[in-house]
Amino acid sequence: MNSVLFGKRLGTLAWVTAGFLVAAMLLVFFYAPEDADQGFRQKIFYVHVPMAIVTLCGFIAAGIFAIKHLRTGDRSWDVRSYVAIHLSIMLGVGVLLTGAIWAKTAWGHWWVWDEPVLVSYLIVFLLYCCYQPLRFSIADPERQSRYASVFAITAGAFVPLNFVAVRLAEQYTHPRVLSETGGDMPGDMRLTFFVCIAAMALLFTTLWKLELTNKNTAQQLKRLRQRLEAQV
Amino acid sequence: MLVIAEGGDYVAAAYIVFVTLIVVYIAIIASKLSRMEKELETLNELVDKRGTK
Repeated sequence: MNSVLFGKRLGTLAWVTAGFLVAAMLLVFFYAPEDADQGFRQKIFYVHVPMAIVTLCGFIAAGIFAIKHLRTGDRSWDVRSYVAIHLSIMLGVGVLLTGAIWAKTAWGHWWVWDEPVLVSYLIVFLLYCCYQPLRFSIADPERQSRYASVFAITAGAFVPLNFVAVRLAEQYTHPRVLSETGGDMPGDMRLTFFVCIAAMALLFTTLWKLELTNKNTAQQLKRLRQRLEAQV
Repeated sequence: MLVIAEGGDYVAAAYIVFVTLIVVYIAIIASKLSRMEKELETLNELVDKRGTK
């Protein structure tokens, strides 16, 4: 892990992310029109849906990093996978909370149990909540990273399968956003939505790189301390 | 007087959840950074000890 510098271009990325977040908020509140059906409360869509999409992509990315770890044996890929899952779980909490708030204001209920999109997302979220207990229940670092990678690949494969299963199911209460028949957003709403997705993806990448840099620095400090203590 | 659009309190709550999550996450990273700073200080002391020997 020593040879990889995760903090490279982190400052630039952070500034670009800040720019996109500001642009997204301006578009959401001053450019995008109010929804004819839901009115102002539909603005929750611009934070809830991009966060959900980015979270699921984060889980899939973690699976891809885990494959690279198992193929190369390079522990830095395992750390990438671990941080992606960690960050996705954190944003997943946000997805569930903002979704519940939106459901309450739009449907009058905090949660609808017979809606496949909500329940399947909850299942995916709970599945990934098992990742950290599993990982840290194994003492041997080599085995820990290998088992964690197998988990990340298996669970990561489940995410797109889950998406397909939901698409094949009958449409209930939850609207489909990115589909051929659903999601008839006007151009200004669509533009705002895509800027929000870009902002959320950039935010995820920035925080991911920040945590990786942090972990790498801590690891290097630990090694340096061990070397110095051995010499004193 | 500030007029809040219908459902505005829910919209505010959703965006506050998002901002809170990010702020909490950054606070956790900041606390780790502060621990690393202390660790660096200890390492500097170790190097100084070596220099005086």
